[in-house]
Amino acid sequence: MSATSLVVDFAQGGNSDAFAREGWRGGEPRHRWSIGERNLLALPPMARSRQFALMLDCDPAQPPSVTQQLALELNGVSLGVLQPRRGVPQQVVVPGDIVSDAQDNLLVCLNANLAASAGGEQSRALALAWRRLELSPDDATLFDPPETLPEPENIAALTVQTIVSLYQSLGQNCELGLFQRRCGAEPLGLLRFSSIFPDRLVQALRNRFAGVDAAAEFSLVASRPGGELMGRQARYGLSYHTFKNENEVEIEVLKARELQRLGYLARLFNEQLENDEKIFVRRGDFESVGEFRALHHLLRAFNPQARLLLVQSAPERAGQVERLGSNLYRGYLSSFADPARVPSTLSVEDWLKVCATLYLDQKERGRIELAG
Amino acid sequence: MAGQAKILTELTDLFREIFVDDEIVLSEETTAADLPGWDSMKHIEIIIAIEQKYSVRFSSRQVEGLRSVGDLVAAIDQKLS
Repeated sequence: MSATSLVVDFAQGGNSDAFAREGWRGGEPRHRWSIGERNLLALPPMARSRQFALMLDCDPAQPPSVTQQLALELNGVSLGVLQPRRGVPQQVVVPGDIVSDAQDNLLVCLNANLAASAGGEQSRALALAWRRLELSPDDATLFDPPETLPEPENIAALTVQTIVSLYQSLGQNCELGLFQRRCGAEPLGLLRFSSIFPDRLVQALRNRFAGVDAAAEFSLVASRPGGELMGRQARYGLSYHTFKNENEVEIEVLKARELQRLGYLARLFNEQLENDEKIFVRRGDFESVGEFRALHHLLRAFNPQARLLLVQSAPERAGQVERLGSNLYRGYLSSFADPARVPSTLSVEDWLKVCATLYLDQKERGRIELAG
Repeated sequence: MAGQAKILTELTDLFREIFVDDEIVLSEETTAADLPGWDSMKHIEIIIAIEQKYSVRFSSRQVEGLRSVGDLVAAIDQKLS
């Protein structure tokens, strides 16, 4: 009998023994190492589907300064080459016609750029710390090449505040938040004026930002003596603007207020995701399409219809938006703002074009409710 | 209606406390544009204080729709009734 979807848990006590064949160490409390240049997993027969999503959650053994590569083959067909990063899952699209519903599906993982083991043998070197693998039917429509959305004919005729309020930042920095402010919109958002690294964002989304208001993990740090106090939340590596200077507030009062604010905004953030109220936006530090898809996969755990816009810098495509898949979009700016000279270096026109283009697309699809 | 007038009075006290300004006078028409310092940060403080004072909870969708003091009064009144 074939499985409809599969989760392989590589932690000790998980189910990976049933699938691991060549090139695996024993399980550790939270992960299991693959070793050497070639590892094999025998995945069970899968019920037929037009396509599958293969989600990989594994960390490279090498430090971030070394790019490790992972080439994947399923049943002898290449699925592509990935560059795993610590804490950032990846998703690969698997065509349905290469997946067997009668026999085991052999997943071969070919590792490159491994460090030699202590004994000098590359074949025994640690490759990846695997936590989880998921193979499931993917109902998202994929566009290859991506479909470029038509640009709005007359942006001036649109209500700019309404348009830009539809978007909610997923952190990295405050560029979107400042663009919204420039447009006269002040939507509430946990990550609107925050920076958070990709791996920590993944962790935070998995935990639904639980504990973001823990007092013991929060601090206020002045950017310079007497300067603006930045909020620092250690659990998720969150750093954000308080817009309060060191000398103008009582630290303990501000701290209490900020903790309350973080807890409240986390509640709002989760609601907005669950209720599909916003289009979530992340700048292009999720480096590959595989990482985009995995981030989208995480958002879809809150709501299957969750929408994600990734914004990248590409002068020749400035202002354009393309659809990478169902509810997954990529927009382009001529350049990102210079962090030291925001907001004067904001690409306001590009941001506006991107937001308006996607807004009209969503309106046409009947996906604008609140902002309509 | 009497309930709404009472809520408006209570909100005035609450705003005075949050903005540390005893001169604040609110009407149902008051919006963020009328009150210096009523930005998104302050808006969060206001919503949190209202939720605590009245033991109510607004959804994210409701919060986005609260644009004036009149909206706040109506929303609180609706929650309490």
